[in-house]
Amino acid sequence: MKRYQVRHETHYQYGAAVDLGLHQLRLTPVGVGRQTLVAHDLQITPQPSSLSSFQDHFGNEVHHAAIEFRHDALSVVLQATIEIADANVASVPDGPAWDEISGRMQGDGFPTPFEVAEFVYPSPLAQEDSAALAYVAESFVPGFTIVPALRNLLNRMRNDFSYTSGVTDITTTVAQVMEMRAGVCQDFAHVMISGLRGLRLPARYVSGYLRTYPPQTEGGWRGADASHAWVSVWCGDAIGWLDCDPTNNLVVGDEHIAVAYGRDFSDVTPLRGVILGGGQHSLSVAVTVDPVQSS
Amino acid sequence: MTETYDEMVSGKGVLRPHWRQTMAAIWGMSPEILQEKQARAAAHLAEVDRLLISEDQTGGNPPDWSIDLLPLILPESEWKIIAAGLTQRAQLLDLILADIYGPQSLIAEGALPPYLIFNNPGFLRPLRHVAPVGAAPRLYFYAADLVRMPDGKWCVLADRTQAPAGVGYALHHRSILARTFPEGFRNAPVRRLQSTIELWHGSLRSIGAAISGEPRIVLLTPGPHSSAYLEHVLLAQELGIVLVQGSDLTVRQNHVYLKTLDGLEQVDVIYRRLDGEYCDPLELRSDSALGVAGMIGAMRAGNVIVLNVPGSAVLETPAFAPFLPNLAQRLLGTGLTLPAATTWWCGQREPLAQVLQSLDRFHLRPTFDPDTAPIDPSHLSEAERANLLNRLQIAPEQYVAIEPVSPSLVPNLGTTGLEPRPVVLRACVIWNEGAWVAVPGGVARATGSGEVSRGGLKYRASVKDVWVMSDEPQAPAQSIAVPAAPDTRQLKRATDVLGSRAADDLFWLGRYVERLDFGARLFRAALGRLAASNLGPRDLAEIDLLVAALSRSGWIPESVANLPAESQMFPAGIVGAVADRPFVDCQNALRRLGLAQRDRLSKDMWRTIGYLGAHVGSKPSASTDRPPVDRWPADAGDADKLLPRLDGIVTNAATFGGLVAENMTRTAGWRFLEIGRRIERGISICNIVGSLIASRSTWVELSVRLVFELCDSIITHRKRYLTDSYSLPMLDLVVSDRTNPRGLIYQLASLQAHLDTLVGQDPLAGEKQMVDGMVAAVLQALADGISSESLVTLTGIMRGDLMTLSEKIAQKFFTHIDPARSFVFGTRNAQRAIAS
Repeated sequence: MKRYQVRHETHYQYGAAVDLGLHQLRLTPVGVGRQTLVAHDLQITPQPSSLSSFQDHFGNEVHHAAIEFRHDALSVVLQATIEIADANVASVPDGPAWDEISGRMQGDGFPTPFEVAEFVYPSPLAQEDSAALAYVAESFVPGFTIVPALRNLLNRMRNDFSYTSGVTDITTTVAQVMEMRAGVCQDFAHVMISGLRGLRLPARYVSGYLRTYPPQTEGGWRGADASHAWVSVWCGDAIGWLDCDPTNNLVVGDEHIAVAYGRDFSDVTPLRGVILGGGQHSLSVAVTVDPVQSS
Repeated sequence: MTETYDEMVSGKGVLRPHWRQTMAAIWGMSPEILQEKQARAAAHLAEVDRLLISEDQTGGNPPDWSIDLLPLILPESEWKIIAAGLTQRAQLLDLILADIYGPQSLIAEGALPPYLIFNNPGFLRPLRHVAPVGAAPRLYFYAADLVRMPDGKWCVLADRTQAPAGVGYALHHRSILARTFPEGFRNAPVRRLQSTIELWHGSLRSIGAAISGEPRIVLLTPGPHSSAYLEHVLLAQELGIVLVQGSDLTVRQNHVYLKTLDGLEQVDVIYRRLDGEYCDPLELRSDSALGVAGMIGAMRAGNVIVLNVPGSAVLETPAFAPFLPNLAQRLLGTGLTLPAATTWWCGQREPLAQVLQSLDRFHLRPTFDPDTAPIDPSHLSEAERANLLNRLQIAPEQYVAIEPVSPSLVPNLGTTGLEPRPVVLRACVIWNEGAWVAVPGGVARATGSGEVSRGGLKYRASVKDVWVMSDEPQAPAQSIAVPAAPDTRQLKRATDVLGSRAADDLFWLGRYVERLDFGARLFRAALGRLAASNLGPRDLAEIDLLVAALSRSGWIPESVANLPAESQMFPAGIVGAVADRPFVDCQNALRRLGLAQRDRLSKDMWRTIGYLGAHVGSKPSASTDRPPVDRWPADAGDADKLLPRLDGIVTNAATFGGLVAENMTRTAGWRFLEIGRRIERGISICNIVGSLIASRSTWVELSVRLVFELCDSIITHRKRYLTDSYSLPMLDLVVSDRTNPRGLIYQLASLQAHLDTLVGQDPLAGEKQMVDGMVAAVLQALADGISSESLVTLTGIMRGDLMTLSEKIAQKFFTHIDPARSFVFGTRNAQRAIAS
């Protein structure tokens, strides 16, 4: 078992005063699967006029904050202590044939299990895309078991897509990423999800954090300095959801901390808001995920 | 050919009893009278449509629907069956909605395919687990499009659960028929719609009582650009609730508030006519400027009730139809009494096989897009058919197959005499205290052929009122107006609440009416002279002056103003300007504002706005920079043709002013309208005096006379000076004479009075002082003696001051309503928060 201390700081400096700000935050790590939320604390500055929380449709913890007075800056600091149970990712079984799973997703209109079916349909940022489907399908020879097929796909994606920040933004479509063969974690996750769903395999989008390594450390992860994103794939009843990181070519072990699950980024946006005023604003984000001794 | 049911005549060729009275009335009239009535009804409908449907929407064509004098008539006994069937469906659909947004056990247990929920654009995830407050249902208002099958039974073509239209139109059609076809109502036991409205208002109040003892209820509309805006205006008026757009509302501390001039007022119930996905940019579509950020949060906190709940459109997919009979057994323990037309969802093997095997037996519709016209495979080309079959193999779940029904026929009077037409009925039920009540009427559409296997109100049709003939005689209409026991709650209806946006709209409506009036006066003066042949030097000098004034007020472009009056292109430029910007912009703005505040304006006021807003002439097809040279002297004729319309604008603007003065209650809304008018009239007077007197013309007398003509003061002048000669000092009549309502100081004095009473407290003290100063300046200038220089200086200053005053009032009252200043992030901009 590993224990981590997460600190996620977001700071907005507004160019003009904001008179009213409404925000929804999906920052608190979920306590599901191998992950346990030991403690957490959310600090919002200025102190919101009202703050409440609820569980969304996907079971994620959402904070709803309203700042109903004039302010020039907003800062949000999330601190959490997480425990992750050990997992031997090398020994994940091969699972059933992938087309058996996709056949059960067909299920003559009634897929089984029904609750994973939601993640087999297209979603706003992971639309059907013939190029993504064709690309992903190369790793899914009929009759092959699902986990080796996924490992093959992760390996290919790591080689075929270049990790380049700044070439994509939140409006970038799967088709555009397929054309550029470049992007960031979010883009790779959307490509993989779109292709898998094209094969009628349920795939979820996961937002979360990665363990931080000191700069220039060998073995440090890509994308550890901010929120990260990866993909969770349904691998049948025995294995369940298997988290895969196409950015780092791996099956997720004990160095990924999941914050929220959804169909794509639009379901799990860490900080979404409507403000009155504000003008141009600047934004800084810092994430650290440090291992701590279990007590 | 399938047998069809005839609404009017039985199989034995006998008139059905419930049609007898109406047809007797019809047959009692000559074809000429009938056609005259038919034309009158159409004119009533068109009068409203002209305001509702902007010309850019229709490309200048009139709307392609009409109203028919002959209603669809149903006997009470049949209506009861329909009402019971609708009630049962509404109950069932509300239970399904509760499950979809709650435990989802129907999906878990295989009663509803997950695809139909999870891939359904109507399924709004943020509404999951948001429980209704108190006893409020999720589905409050439900409508269905129905057709009658050959066996005489009705079936459902489409369930309407989003925010269905119907009752407002029904009221509208009923009032048109009451005026044009009173013979039809005479002695006929036609069930009235009014009782439903009363009940409806009561039911909204009782639902709101879960939040507040005196609940504030609003109708949320997307605004004047919505195709159903007429409905929203009529319903808000009838229900006595406030008509609001998203920008009228704000959320504080998880409560929804209405922004009024007196501050924020809590809203307890929102009768929603805005599509669910647009309701809240924070949680739903972030690009929506029509909703209210935080509305879903307020619902979640139990502080506001929204009816129907956003997300109710999930039920509109026709693919639910095959699953409803089982769901009725499961949830209600009974079968459906009002079934849907035979429908198959192609996402299952067996139905798909059936459809592929005998494609021509069905009409195909997309699973999730109810507004798309159905495909009739028998009308497809070979290639289209192959393409459809291919799509059905690849993505069968995207299709629904419906066995077309042969709808019943209803007599349609039309313009050529009675003919049978297939009919679709839109009928509605409303939730009331745990039960459902059917509205005894609706909207019937007599369609052409090929259009029937879908519902909807948008497509081409002849609309008909729906008469339910009661078994009992109906009380005469007059008794409705005098309720036996006056309900004090009714007296407290809330339409007098003035939202900040309404104040803004009325203020600008006042300004635009005056602006258009002065524009029309200037154009009329110029074109009247141009239309005359043989222009003498005096005419040319006057035209010169008028062009300076037109240009100064921005009505004509420089390119036209700089043409010499003798130029052949000049008249064409002036004529063209009446059909071009900014004159047309002014008319459009006026129409838009009038429409937005339709619920505050009387029918007569609305009619004058309709006239003022109707475009004059047509835009010249050639570029205005280079009008064809050969148009002169034809343009003298063009100019002459425009004159009656410009006269009409001036007269209607005067009528509008009269209605404002005589027919509007003195609410804050009236005051803002008046302030807008006074400010604009003041600015126009300054423009005219300034430009005419400052002109290089040496004909001072001409200038003064033109000022009087444009300011409608010639008669006053004659009476006062007993002469037809004009000199500069006489201009005090339009500058500083307090008794002339067309004079500058009169406008300032009115503004003084309005600012005094408007709020009666300090917020306006600065503005009041400013106007006081303006009045003093005018009087001082007069005392100093009138010269052209002093007049030009004075009007220049006054014009600037009036514009500043307008801005100050806008800042004070209207600034916080600008939705453009809100900005959604976390979608587009969150990218930078996600470095990886």
